[in-house]
Amino acid sequence: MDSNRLAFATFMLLLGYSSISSAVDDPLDDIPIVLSDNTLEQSPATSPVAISSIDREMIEASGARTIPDALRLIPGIVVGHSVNDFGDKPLLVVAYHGHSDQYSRQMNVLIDGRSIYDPLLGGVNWYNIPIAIDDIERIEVTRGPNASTYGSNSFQAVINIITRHASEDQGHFAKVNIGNHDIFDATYRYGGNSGDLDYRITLATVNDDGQDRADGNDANDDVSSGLIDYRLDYQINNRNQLTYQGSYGRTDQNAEQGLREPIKPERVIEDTNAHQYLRWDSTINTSQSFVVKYFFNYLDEQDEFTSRTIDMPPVDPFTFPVSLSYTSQRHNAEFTHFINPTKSIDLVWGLSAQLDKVDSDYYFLDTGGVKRNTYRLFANGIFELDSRNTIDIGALYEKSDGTDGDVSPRIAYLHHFNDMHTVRLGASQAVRTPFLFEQDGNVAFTGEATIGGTIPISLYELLYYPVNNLLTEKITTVELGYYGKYLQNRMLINARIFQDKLEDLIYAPEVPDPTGLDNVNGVAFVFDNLYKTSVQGLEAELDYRHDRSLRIVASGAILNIESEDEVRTGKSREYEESAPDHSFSLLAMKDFSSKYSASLGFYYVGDMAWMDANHNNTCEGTTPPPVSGCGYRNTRGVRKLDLRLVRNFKFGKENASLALNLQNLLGEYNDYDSAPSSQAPAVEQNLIAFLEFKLKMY
Amino acid sequence: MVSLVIRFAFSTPRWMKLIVILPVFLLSGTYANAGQGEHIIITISPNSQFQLDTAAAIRKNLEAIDIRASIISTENINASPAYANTAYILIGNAAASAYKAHEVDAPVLFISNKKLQNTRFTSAKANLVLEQPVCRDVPLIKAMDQDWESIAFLSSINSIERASDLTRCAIEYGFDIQVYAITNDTDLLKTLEMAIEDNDVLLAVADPLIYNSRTVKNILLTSYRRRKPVIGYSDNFVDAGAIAAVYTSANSAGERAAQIISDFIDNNWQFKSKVYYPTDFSVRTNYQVAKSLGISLPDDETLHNKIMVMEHK
Repeated sequence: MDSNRLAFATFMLLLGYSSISSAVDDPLDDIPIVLSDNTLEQSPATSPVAISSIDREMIEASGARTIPDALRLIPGIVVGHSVNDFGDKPLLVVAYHGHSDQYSRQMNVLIDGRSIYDPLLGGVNWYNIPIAIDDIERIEVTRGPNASTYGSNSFQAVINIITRHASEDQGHFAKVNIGNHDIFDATYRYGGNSGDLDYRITLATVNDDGQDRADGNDANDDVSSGLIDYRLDYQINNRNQLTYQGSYGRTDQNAEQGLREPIKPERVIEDTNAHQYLRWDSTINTSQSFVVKYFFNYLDEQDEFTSRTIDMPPVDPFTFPVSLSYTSQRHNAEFTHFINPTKSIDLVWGLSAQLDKVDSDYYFLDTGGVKRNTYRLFANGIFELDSRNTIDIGALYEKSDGTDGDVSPRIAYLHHFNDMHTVRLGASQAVRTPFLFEQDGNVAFTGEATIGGTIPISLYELLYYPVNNLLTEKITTVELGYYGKYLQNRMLINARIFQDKLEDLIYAPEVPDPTGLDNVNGVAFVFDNLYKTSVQGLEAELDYRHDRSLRIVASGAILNIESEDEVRTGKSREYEESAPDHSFSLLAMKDFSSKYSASLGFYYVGDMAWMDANHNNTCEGTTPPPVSGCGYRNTRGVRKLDLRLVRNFKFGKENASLALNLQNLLGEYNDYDSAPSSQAPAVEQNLIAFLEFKLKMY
Repeated sequence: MVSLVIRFAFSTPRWMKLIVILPVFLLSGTYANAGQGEHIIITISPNSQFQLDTAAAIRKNLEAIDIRASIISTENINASPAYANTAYILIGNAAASAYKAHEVDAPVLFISNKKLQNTRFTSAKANLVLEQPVCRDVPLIKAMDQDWESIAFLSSINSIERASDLTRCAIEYGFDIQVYAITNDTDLLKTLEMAIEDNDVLLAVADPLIYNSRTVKNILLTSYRRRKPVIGYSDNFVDAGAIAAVYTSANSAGERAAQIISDFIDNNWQFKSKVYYPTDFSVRTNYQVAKSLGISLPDDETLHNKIMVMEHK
């Protein structure tokens, strides 16, 4: 620093000194504990599992309007827009290592430690999650099972979305996106404080018309959502803090009519969600702290319609009312105790209880709803044998209603060759408890019709029927990981090779109607533990900061899924095709000056097929193969190029920016099902262009 | 019984310790005042663990040389007895304010972090300043990580002098130092983000206009989110989340204050100096924060020794 700058600083201080806060303390007084075991994140160099992190800078540079857009940066993760021809609600689907249909069931998703996956069907409706993307500080993704830390459903991966403390969002913030595809997003946030209370409130809306059909027509998958979200952080005293969060959101989604089924018409599905979250962080002393938390999630999905006209000779054409509506609730209470008896030992243990409750006359025909209690006891210990060697051991015991208790253990050994290079050898197991629909789903359509205009007939079409002995899915993972720092920490490399063994995978094949009541087609879907697979692969990430103005992050995955079933056809084969052999992402971020910056994102996903995509496009023996390709992998390699140009402004003390976002510059692509049926062309992503204006007022 | 005491010391919450310990201090002070000889009344703010620990250390060291001492809270300064052979040790700003309001006519040793302003020191009124020289933080930073090149320093009007000292020392140790002027609360948030973005480490000094209980949360969280360490100025700050600090420990302050009082009594109740400074320093690191940031640190003793070596070069 030169003397001119110091002189300038001195001048500024003398000029503005009177306006500084007068609320000051004695430096000899105590200070609130801010960073303790319960708030600290684990460094990739010391983590017992592979963790990837998407920070605020990456989220913004990616131009992501939704969280899945940013998750493309994680190695092994694939994102798809499911507009299927069953007339289901369009979903953004995030899957890790395949095995996924539109409900990505093998993954846990948390917001600030609050699990948000749907207890009924599994997966997450990313259009409808109660969080504004601008409130997110970072997204941590644990690649591989980690039940002993994150609880049930932490099966193939865990996505943990972390928001900022209210004290970090002081002042006004506003953002507007306007673009093609009827994009209109708006966010307003205000953060303030009063004494020891920090608070923020966020209002947000996200709207677009979704994708287009390959023939250029707009697909009926419009989304319109609104959200109010708030967070209060109250410092009770220097060692205790209360956090209270809540939200209320509403999402309207258009759904296509069913093309591979005759019932569902085009319609609007209305989701209302809310949550309440109370958390008490307490630091007992420098070696002990605990967290007590309780949350409540609520979802009300309204999907009611009159069926399309059913033409099923000799029965006269008829319609009938349908309600696919349901409400779900989750209550969860958890206690976690952190102990550091010595500098070289970190211990965590805790217990939790969770109640999942779903009410629906459609999904649970006989009972109108189900509920399930789940109890968990978990413990984890990190033991530093010496400065170079660490062992991490953890386990979760989980018992849910209707299942036997399961233990999910984990062990990892880390060797630090020096401060720059670490290798990790780990093994872990986890289970996935069947979702309520898989466990107890009992679905049938009933309709009254006539034959020949006079003879009444009651029609009963059984769709799903439950079995009583459904087991948990199981995964066993062995991995060898490496974390290295190069170029004076400017380049970080995180890589691993792994093998996953998955057993008792749940699938619902069509079987003869077990009730004998079906008088339409005599068959029904029944969930069962049918398949087992193994996944081998290599994943790598690179984070390179050339200097303060240029940063490049890249990731890639090579994956091979093999069915371990004796007969590798049908669904077994579909598991093998459910993830790409190769995927890659790259995000380059460059600040040209304080006024101008730009980022460029490139994403490649190899051929694959989602589990519920149309797998009939095998065209075996066809020579030459059709342009659309052959085989099960009907989602052809996706190449996506995004560009973002930013102009920053200063209005007095306020910051503003205007950004032009251009996405899918390499042309249209389909990322879910390129050959859904013969009745309509596939839906596609095509050019997205939107302007983003941000204003931050302190 | 011993195990009970140990368990109490290590596992009992701080607020419970205060409830239990403070009355014991007060009670024992009453007994002390009942006797003959010198009386040292140590006045503290009971909400500060550091002040409580310092008072306990002073009392222990005084009692070792047969000087009776009692500990009272600032709220009770009005009720304290005023013997002819009574002297006060006032720890912290609150105690100093209470003393001035009470207008006690007795010798006093003020213990403060920074030299007290607007106070005329005499042979019966002295100041023990606990703040470590800011230049000592620079070798600490050097000893922690050789790769760190630039230091951010937030400065208000309170700390501009230290900014000047720091600039000189930083250059001496080969660091680039950036001083950021903070003139109001709005500046703090904006400037903090810029400061930690552009530098390897943020150096905090005891400047209550910038680092107080209301702002420290934001400063530590924002720095941590950007994976930049904060060098604090006290063990409290390290507990709160700073990665390390050079500071005067409560034990050290206690020993120093007891020595000053002993000399004061031996010198016919006259202080030999008007302002005293600590004669040693401590280093404390937050191992959990360092580990989370992926920074491997030498142990506290090694850092202490490295600073000593660098300072004597």
